[in-house]
Amino acid sequence: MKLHRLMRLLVVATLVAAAANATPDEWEDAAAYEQGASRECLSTIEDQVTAALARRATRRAVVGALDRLVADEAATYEGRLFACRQLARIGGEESVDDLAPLLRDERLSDGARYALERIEAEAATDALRDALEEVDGLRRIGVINSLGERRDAKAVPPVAALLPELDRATTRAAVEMLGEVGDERAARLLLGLERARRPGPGPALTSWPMRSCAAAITSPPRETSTSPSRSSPPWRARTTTSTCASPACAVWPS
Amino acid sequence: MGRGNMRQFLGMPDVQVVAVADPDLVQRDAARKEVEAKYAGESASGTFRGCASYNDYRELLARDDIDAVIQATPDHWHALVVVDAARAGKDIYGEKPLSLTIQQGRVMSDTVTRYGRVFQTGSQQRSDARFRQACELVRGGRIGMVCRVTCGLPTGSRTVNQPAIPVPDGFDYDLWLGPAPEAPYCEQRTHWNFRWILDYSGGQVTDWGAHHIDIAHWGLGLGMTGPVEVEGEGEFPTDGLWNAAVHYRFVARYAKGVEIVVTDDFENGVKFEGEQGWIFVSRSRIEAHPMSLLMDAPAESSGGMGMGMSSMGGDRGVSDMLYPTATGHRRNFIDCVRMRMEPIAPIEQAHRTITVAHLGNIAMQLGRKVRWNPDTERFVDDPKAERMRDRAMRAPWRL
Repeated sequence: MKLHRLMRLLVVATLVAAAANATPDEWEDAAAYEQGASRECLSTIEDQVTAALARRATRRAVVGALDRLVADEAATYEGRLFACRQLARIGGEESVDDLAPLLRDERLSDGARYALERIEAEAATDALRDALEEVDGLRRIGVINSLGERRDAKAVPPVAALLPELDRATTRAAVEMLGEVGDERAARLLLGLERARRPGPGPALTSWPMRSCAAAITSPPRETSTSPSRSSPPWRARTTTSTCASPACAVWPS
Repeated sequence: MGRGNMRQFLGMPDVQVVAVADPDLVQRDAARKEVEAKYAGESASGTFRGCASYNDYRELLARDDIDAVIQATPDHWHALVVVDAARAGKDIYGEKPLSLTIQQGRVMSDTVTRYGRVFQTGSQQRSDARFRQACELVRGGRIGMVCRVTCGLPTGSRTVNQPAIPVPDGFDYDLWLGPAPEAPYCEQRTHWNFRWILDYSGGQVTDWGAHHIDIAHWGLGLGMTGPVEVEGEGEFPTDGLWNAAVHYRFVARYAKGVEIVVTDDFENGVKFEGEQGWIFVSRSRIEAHPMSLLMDAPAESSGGMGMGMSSMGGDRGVSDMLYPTATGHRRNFIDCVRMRMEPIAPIEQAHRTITVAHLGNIAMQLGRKVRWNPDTERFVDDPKAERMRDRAMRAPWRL
């Protein structure tokens, strides 16, 4: 009986390994990968990601291995970035805990965003929002951009709170994020910024986001929209269902 | 490609090139010197005040004395440059393939429309007499109901792995990468060869697909819609720096039953097959079966791609003349800028064209059929494919 159970365990283990179909060597090579070396190990893993997208049984093993590579501080930058990008294809809520700390990483912050922007789970948005006050410079701009991409209405208050202290580049990202979110609270913030703006050459920083906001506010709810220009990926949480009856709408630039 | 386009515009009496932008000092200086040599005589008379050169295109766009721009960057920059140019009030001659991702193309088209800009796509086959003749015959019903269009594109290229090397002096490599993921520099990553790397382009599938799928759509009258399903197989190099498909064959099926086959296993050109005959057209010839199809509508010499095309001769009825006469692809752009008209290769149709190529690449990368809703431009019940409709950009870039 014991032998029978052992055999069954061996068979299961073999099946899982075959399903993942990437040997430890390939993962080790990926962890050491730098440009100039053979890319075969990455291609093999990439193929396994493609296969796992279609086979739920192998998905967990592949995602788990990618999560480990992402978190492996001994791995090369290029190996970890590769893993982030594969998680953009296949990652789920279980990957968020490994990706979130990388948002604070000087080099891998973008890589973490590549994955988090694409993961449908709300936890991915939470991770981005949580990082907002802990990063600066390009990393903060990237995080704001990703929150805009995900149209995270919950990020409007923390972004608004940051506005007075932001440099011009980050302010641009912030106002464009408000335009992407496109709810009434974002619209009022943009209007406030526009009114406080000092006259100067060139278009206002807020002109494009205000147009985006107006388009969002005046567009029909997503369920009834058939226009491709209003289509959103599933992770984008368009919460606004307001119409042009919005008080802000009357003052949008044409 | 940028300077090739620029030379065409330099030859137009109602156009003056006043600035160039390129993050590579060598390329930028060469372009500037070419402009200044061309206008040397006018400098003396005071009608030309020199050609400015910029590392960052945004400085060029900030000038209010510039009406129009040529966008001939690597593909991963197309969306940002076009959107920024439209927002800055410039008309745009934009190189193909239109976009790097489906979503980028959608944003580009919407932005150009929203800002009322004139946009001519660099799909110059639309201004070539042979391609236009073929499309007019197909749309005129001369081969009956079309069941299949085959687009023959070139085979892709491979290269070996490339070690990182120092960035050459004068090359702002970080700006060249722009929205693309960080990657070590090597010569074969940049300039012409960017198109064989999926971070920056879609390989031959998008590079030539932008031309021939565009002709297929034009002939079929499907320029404002798209397929409902796409499937195929591609061979992507598993080693070496370049990773775009080298061999490929995919089929895009449309709601009305016609299918477009895109493959590297077919002569370069476009073949329309109908119930009553076929037409093959390429940059060097046009053939048909029956041959009599061509007898009443001889293609005039185009004098080279996009270089002047006069009105069509022959005995055909007016109803076959589906497209306005063009006098050259770039000339058509300038004429449309002046008259505020839609050029012969408008951005929305370019977006619909390149969407087919992107769908082909996505289907081949996933290794299975994908179903597509051309009205909403979303994959049908396919969140895995949906993730590939766009890509996140490296900070600080955003669309």
